[in-house]
Amino acid sequence: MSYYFAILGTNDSPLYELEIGTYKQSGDGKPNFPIEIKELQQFIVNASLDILQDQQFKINQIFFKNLDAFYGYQVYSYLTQGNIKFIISTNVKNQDESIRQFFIEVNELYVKNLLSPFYNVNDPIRSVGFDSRVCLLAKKYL
Amino acid sequence: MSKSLENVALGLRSKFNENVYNVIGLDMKGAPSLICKQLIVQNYCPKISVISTTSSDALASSLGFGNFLELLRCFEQGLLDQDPGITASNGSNLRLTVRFVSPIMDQLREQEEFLQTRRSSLGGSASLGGSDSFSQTFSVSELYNLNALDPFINDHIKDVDSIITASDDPVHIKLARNSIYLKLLTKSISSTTISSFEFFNHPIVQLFVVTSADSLETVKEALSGWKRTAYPSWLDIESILELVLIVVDPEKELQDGLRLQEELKLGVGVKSLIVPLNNSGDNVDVGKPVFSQLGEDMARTESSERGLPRQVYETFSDQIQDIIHKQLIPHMERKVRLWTEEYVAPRKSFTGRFFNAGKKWGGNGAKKSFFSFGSSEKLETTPEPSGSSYNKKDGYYNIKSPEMAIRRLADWNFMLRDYRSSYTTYELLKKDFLNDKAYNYLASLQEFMIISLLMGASNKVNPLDKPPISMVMNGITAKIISEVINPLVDSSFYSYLSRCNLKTYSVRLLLIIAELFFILGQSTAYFGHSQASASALYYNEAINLFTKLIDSHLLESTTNAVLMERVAYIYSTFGQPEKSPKTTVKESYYEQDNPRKLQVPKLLSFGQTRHRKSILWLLLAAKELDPVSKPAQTRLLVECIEDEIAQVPGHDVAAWMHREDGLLYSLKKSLGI
Repeated sequence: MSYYFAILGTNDSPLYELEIGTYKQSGDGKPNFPIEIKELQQFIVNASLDILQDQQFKINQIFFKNLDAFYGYQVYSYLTQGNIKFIISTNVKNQDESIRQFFIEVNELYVKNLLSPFYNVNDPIRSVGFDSRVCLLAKKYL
Repeated sequence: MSKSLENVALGLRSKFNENVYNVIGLDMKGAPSLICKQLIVQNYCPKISVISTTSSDALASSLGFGNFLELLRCFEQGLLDQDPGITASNGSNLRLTVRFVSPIMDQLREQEEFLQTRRSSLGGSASLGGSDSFSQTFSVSELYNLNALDPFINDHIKDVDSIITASDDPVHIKLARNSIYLKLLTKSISSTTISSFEFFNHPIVQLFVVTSADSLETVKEALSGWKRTAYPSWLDIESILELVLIVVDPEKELQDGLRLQEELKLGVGVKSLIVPLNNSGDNVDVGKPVFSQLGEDMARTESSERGLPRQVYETFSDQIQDIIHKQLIPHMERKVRLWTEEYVAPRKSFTGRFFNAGKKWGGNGAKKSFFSFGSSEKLETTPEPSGSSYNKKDGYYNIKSPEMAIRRLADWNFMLRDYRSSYTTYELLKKDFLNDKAYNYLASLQEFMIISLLMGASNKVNPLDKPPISMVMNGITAKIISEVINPLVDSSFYSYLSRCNLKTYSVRLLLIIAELFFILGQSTAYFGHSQASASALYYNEAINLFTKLIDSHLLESTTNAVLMERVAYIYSTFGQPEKSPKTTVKESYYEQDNPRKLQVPKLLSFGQTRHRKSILWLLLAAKELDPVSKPAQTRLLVECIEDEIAQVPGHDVAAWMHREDGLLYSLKKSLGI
């Protein structure tokens, strides 16, 4: 039961990645992806962008649950106003609402990060503070 | 051992394939769907079973063949190459292809032996009588040996590898690679297994090959001999057309041949044709038949190079054309007309329906009927309720039953490429089979209902036809797919696999229907923008079915890898042909562009393509193929992936894909790139 979370920039390049396990169901927050999924994770997320691009101008919403699926792994996505993509691929079931909450709060963090004069759009996010806050959010919601 | 491309790639010289490649274009990842469609259509062609006398076999062996059947089979390829495919322009004048098969009794015996060995290996009692009769409880056999499929594909990949390493021409490499999937497709749909619930493999013409040296008695013996065998009662002997082929030497034996022909006509009443054989001229190379069965193909891989004297080749080619166009097709059309009048018309008419309904209530529901009151115990012991000709105990319909006649009619319509009639005819039987719980009959019926439906639809949107765009309508909507096609596929798949335990049939079902959806998608996409959503719908259906087949664990790893590659090809053709931008680039309003300004993605194709999905499936295929055992193939796939990645804008994305914890990196590492 693990999550792979990625923030992708406007040009689809990765800005931030996190692998984290669930804290619910007596999980300890350690990711435990099987090796064949772990080595494919970035390709799964990248592939789901094809579907996201197809949908994003057709459907009037920013959060997509069940955007894509790959052998038991569901892909969720959240599109910010600046066309930054938050994507989660996970095998945890029935957490739609908490994933949505997580995305909303991460969006807030991201916007704060964007306000920093030392950060440009589409640069990788290297801030330690950002990372620890995202981890805290994950602990809270995921 | 290097092989030439002709031996490996299918139908290389055929005009049809050239046309297709002109329209669709050659791709490393897979063959165009239209070629696959041609293969599917050609697979369901009429069969001609061949019985030869010893003297005609001797003649064949003097030309370097084991028997006459083998000689005749060499002409199959020529017929396939000439087949222009189904287009609007030549819809009426048919050019059917045929296949030559061994006599029915031999085929049945082989099937039974195969079943017996399997049964005995499972611990059952095996008793193989050498008698002339076949048991009525002939159980259903698989189309081919499924275990042989994976080794076969592996062997073929080795042939392809030898071409790839020998050739630098990218066209050759692509053709050779495309042939892998085409081989898999032909092998997994073609079969000569005679089953009780399908008539595609029941021969339509029984050909006797004799020479003028044979006496009338020998010929008579052969003619009566094949009918004497006690066939299972689901097998139809009556509607097979008997035909005698008299091979003569035109200089010496023509008179003998003519006399024999006359005698046959008067004495036995059988039509015969004379083939003057002139053994001269230079040699013509003849290829292996494409649709050979799995086992037999493996047995004679060495003797693939064959030659025939030109004169002999031409004579036989003409003669076979004659048989097809003057004997076979008229015979089939006559029978189709007859059966339609005899069986279909009454069913469709009002009175027919009325009586049918009455029979059903009187038959199966007799226990509840007023008149049988008090005798209900007796009724239960009666062997079979009237109204159905299904033999419940042994699980087959008698060939004389109207159900079988209708099924046969539909199958013949299908072979004559009249998919509309075959669909409506199949539909008549659905309820009967369901009521009788004849699940193998039902599954096959459902399968061919969908195939005829999709085939008919895809014929209307053939890119080779170049019809005006406004005319293009195929009638398969999302509603039809979800309400008609998908339930039928699911039920047929379930019946084949779980009720009847027929794995090869399930594979065939999914493969053909997935491929047909892809054909629809690719053809519809060809007709432009307004059809984009429809074609995406078909593509998704095709991908769903392919993944269903991959996930069903019916096939082994190499075969699965080939199928994964097919999925990748479908994804990569998504949204093709690509739309060309109409607007020219405007001059920038600003004197100097802001370098930090974000790039606008290509909006015309935004969300239309699935290249990234394609990358994912290519990776899966490459992993399944295994870089250690098949390095050449995996290397090509990895090159394909890198090409795709290179098209994605942005340096960061490429770096992300190539990262060290990813599959692509480990694949490249094990390949040593």
